[in-house]
Amino acid sequence: MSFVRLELWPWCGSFLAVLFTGVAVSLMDDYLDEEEYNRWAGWVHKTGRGVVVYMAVLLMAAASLRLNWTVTLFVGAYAVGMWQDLARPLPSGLKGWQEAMILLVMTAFHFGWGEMTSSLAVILFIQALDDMVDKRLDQETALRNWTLDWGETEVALLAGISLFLGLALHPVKVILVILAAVLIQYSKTPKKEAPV
Amino acid sequence: MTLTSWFLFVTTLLAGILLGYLTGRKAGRKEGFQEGILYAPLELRRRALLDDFCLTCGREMVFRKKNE
Repeated sequence: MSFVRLELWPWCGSFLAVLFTGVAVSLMDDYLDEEEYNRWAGWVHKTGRGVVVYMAVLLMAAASLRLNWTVTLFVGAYAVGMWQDLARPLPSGLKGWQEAMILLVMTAFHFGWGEMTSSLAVILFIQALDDMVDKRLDQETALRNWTLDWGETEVALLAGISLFLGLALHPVKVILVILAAVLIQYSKTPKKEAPV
Repeated sequence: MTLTSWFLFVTTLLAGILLGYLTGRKAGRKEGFQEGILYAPLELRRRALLDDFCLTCGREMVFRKKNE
């Protein structure tokens, strides 16, 4: 019993933190991109701006379970999201890459470089893998995709580098994030072929 | 060699492969473009003579029929 209480529970809490953060990021992504080809899209469209409230609640729950992972993973997802359009001017007056860099450095100083780098690495890995899987769909719908911008081999190598760097820095976090991402992706994938 | 060192070794190896791939691809594209420029006129002429149709101006090439 002591094993369950002392060893297994912290990882369950950490997994829930990662899962909540992943769901929050995914909801934000679906809302901003007006995504249509997944099972959450209907709910996101119906809820509209209310998604922000659910996102905040999810992030709060995640942060209460594992603050450093939640913040670094969210900042990592934010920076990778900004990467899609680095030169875009934002309401802050800064460009996408400047805002992302400031946030990354501030978070790294606060939570540690290893924590921030491992979170960024695993988010990069998931994004690269997602773009490799969605290449055909993104080509048809004219969405931004790294494999279309940089080439499939480059993105595959980037995914490999990110994965092994993350594993070297924080193996447990990387495994839990990948598990959560698989779970989220599975719950979002439509059962039937999406109409094109 | 610990597992962490092994992961770092693979990361460095993949980073090296990526760097080499990017450099090679950039040089390859440049060389390929130069070769393409040299090859294009020959290929255009070959296709025009085979199809009796000029790919540059879009006109049919009738000289062969006249000669025949």
